[in-house]
Amino acid sequence: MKPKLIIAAILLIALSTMGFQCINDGFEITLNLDPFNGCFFVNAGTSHDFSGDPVRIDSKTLYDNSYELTGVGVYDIQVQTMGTDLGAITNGVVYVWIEGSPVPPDTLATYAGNWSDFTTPRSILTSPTLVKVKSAGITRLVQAVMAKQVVVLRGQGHVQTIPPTSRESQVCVKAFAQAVGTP
Amino acid sequence: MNVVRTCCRLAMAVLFAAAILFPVGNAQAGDPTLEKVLAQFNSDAAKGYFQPFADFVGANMNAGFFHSAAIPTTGFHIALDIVAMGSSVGDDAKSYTVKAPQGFSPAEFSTATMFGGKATVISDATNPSIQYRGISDGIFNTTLFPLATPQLRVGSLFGTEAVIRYVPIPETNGIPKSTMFTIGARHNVNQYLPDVPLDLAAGIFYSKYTSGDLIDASGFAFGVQASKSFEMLTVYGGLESESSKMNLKYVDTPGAPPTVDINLDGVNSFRFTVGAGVSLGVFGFFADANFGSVTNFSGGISFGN
Repeated sequence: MKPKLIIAAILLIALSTMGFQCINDGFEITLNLDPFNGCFFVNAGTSHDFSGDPVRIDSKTLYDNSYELTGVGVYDIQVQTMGTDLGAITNGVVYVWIEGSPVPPDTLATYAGNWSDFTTPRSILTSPTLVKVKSAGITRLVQAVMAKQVVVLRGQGHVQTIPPTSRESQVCVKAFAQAVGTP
Repeated sequence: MNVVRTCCRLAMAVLFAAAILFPVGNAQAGDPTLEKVLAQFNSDAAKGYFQPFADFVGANMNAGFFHSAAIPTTGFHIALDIVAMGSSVGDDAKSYTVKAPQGFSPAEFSTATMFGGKATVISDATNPSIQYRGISDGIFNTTLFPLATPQLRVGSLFGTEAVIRYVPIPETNGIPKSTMFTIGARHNVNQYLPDVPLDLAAGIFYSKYTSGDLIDASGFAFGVQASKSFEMLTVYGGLESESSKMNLKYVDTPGAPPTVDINLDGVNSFRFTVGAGVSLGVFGFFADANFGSVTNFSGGISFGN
């Protein structure tokens, strides 16, 4: 009886352990970061050009800092207009740089079209004729997140119509990113 | 903090479920990995990631109910089985197709499930600097997803025996109280078909696994079984219709809608079982293979009459 009991136990153990190697090594989770969000007012005055105030974004606030990041990727950039219709927009540019860095800003994206084209968010993915991405800006953004630095965004451009009042019409930019991290 | 705690509870519950389903090698039960994973699982993409887990849990819960179709028509009999079962983790369970963000090219791609390898990273065909990554790397590296449970069979009343499984696990270390149980019945069919040279039985089973209010899985199965005994050896088989479902849920704030609420249906709806057992008086052992959408193996030891 005893050998048969042992055989039965071995069979049971074999069934429950066959091929099982538990948790994957180097397991990494994809983190959906809160978007980088910046809005830039087009103010009243005499100039058709606008250049909004820089927006500071601490990249560490966009995800759970207990992760050790191993990679970052940007998967979309969207531009949206809000407020009074200011006609055609030309030479729209979104710059990105790292706060305190001596390296000059890089272009993250460019945009052009009618103000009304952007009343719903326009994406580099679905509206490539309106919004275009620049890889140098992407690289800079990725570097900033990896280094847990403060990112600065600034939007500028040229509008057909100067708004009658300040701080009413604005161009907003969102950059969507994912990070790869280990807990 | 509450979010983190709740995510942790869900993660631990999933891990605990895995620990139950992995009778050995659960040294990672205290690993915080999964609590971080689950915080990301708030989209439809998570369904594909978890789907094989639900498939295998369902297939395992509905396995191992019998190892003979012979059921006495009268008299008291009782048997305790220790049953181990495992679902084969094939290549098709290691990846799934997920949609990329709207406008991305490619529009969809294949990436790792919970049982896969590294998550896939894709670059947009138009803007190669734009990248998107699957939800997570696979967690478990295994070719078999097992379960082990005690099973009590008691009869007979008009050729019917009850089948009961019950595994209560108290709350420990933040892991919610968990319970797995099965209630079922098997009925002797030979009493109506005395000329058939095989033992025949029919059975119906309901199983449930809960871990707090975070994981709720259930399975239902009914089928017919046949067996033939030759001295100590019994050859058996069966056809079973089955279903299973799993709900994964956590709530950030009490009273608020759940932020993660994933409902999954197990893929297995039918299985064909073939197996053999050896009986040595009150002791026996058995093993079988189950073929359906999920290939499953079960086996164990039995004490009783």
